[in-house]
Amino acid sequence: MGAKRTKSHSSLITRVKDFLVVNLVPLGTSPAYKPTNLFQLAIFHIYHTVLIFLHILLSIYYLFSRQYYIAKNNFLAFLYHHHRTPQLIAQDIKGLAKTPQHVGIILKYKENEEGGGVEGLMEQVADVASWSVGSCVKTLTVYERSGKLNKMHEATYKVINRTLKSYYGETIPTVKLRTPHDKTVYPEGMTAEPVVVDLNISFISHDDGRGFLVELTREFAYKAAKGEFEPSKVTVDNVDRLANQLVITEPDLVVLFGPKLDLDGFPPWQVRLSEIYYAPHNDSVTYNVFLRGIRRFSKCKINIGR
Amino acid sequence: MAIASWIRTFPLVQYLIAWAQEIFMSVLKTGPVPQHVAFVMDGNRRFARRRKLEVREGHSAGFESLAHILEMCYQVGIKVVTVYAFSIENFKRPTVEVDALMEIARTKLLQIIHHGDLADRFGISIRVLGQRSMIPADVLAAIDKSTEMTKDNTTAILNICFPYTSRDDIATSMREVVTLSEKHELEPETIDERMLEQHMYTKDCPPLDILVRTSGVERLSDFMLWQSHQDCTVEFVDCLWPEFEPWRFGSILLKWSHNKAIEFRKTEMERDQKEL
Repeated sequence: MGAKRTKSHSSLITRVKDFLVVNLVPLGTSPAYKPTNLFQLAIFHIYHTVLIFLHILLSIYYLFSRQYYIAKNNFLAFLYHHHRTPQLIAQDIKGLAKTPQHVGIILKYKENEEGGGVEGLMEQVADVASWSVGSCVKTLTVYERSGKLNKMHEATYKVINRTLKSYYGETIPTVKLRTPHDKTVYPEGMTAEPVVVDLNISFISHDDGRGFLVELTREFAYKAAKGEFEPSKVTVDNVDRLANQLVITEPDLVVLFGPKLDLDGFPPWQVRLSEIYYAPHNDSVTYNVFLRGIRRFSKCKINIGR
Repeated sequence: MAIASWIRTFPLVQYLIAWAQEIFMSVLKTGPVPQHVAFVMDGNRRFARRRKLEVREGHSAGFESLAHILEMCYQVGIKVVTVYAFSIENFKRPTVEVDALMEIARTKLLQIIHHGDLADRFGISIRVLGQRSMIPADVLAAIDKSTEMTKDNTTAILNICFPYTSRDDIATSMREVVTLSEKHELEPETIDERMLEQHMYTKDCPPLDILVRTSGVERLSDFMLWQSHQDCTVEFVDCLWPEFEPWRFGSILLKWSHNKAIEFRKTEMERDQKEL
């Protein structure tokens, strides 16, 4: 009788304990620290309160720092406005020790916002293309995770030319668009003769990152299974050569126009030595962020290993 | 600051700092904690130059800093820590420096497996990732010994990338997969990202959560390219590695835990909405 009562009594306590532990321990707690008895649960909640307090302090700090960065970005946007004159852009890069030859940018597709959608992306590409031509950048790589612009060469070309006209007047610089994944080039006539254009633009997406390396491995594997391929030929140099040919070469500078450093699936192989620049809490594709990226690149010292 | 470092020499202050660090780590453990953190230990030579020391002493100071950071990591419960000790490109440095680095590697590897030192205290299993063929014989012996002696530890893992470049890692993984296909041990159709990951040096490790690079350089420099290109917080810190204070790392962890908590909150709310 006594034993049965203590058994139901202890099972009630275990049930209460389990209930408390399951429901009061928040998601994401490190599993090593899940409390197993009531005393640990109490200590846990004391510590957790301190953590929540620290998180609140951090949020308050972010509130102020965000305002500071947004104000700074707006101020710099006002100070370094291009006013659609290439001479101003040339002026801005005049004193720099070196400028990047190949710049990569990471754009985010915004569905329902003002200035969003595919047209918004095209406008952003056109803007960046104009700034690139002005800063003597020869190659521009546009990365957008879902690849919305990969098949829209004709429309993008029109938008780019329209924007370039507003910068350069009647004699606009020549632009060539390509999507490595679909092997398409625009304008088509360009593949016939090796014409030197002022700016080469490549459109890449998430599939050109890890997906490309997986594809390459699969190709090699098929050939090797048939006995037509030596596995020892898979070297860093060979893969590098193929990556440069079939996707893009290494960018000197990658500019992120988002609020935080998120490579978002940009091809890992090519980003090995690229300078990565972003403006904290920035949300739009503005000239001053682009210029700051170029300035950062001009100040960096690249010594490969030495 | 001279006064701060003078005050820090008082024994009670050291004890208080260590105690405060433990409390902070326990506080952090009640929230999300990253599972895999990587460090690029950059800035040892600049540190030595600034303090008018020899480069070798800069690297030693770097190792001391590493020991502190590792202690913090394992206290807070991070399962895997990966450090970039030596790049394949670093062999181009002057021979004197390369030899000094090899010497440091050999002695420190043998040191941390001693009874009571790092590996023992936190149950670390040491792994050395990279191209073994490029390491001199005596360092290789030390590596094998430390790996052998710690292989039964299961609490945590320390990956020392020596010598390593991410491209070499990816290419080696691809080569292994292709070799297996050639021997008909696997079907080419089944090759996907997961399979390539399982053949890389970091094969059993959870995905990378945080990558920290010191000395203000904002590049990845051929480290963890595959792992850090999505869903990974990359932090570029503007101080040199020997000066990478524990409080800086603590603030990075706090920031990460805050962001993750917000994410979890969002998924919880979405889940509740779906249930409605």
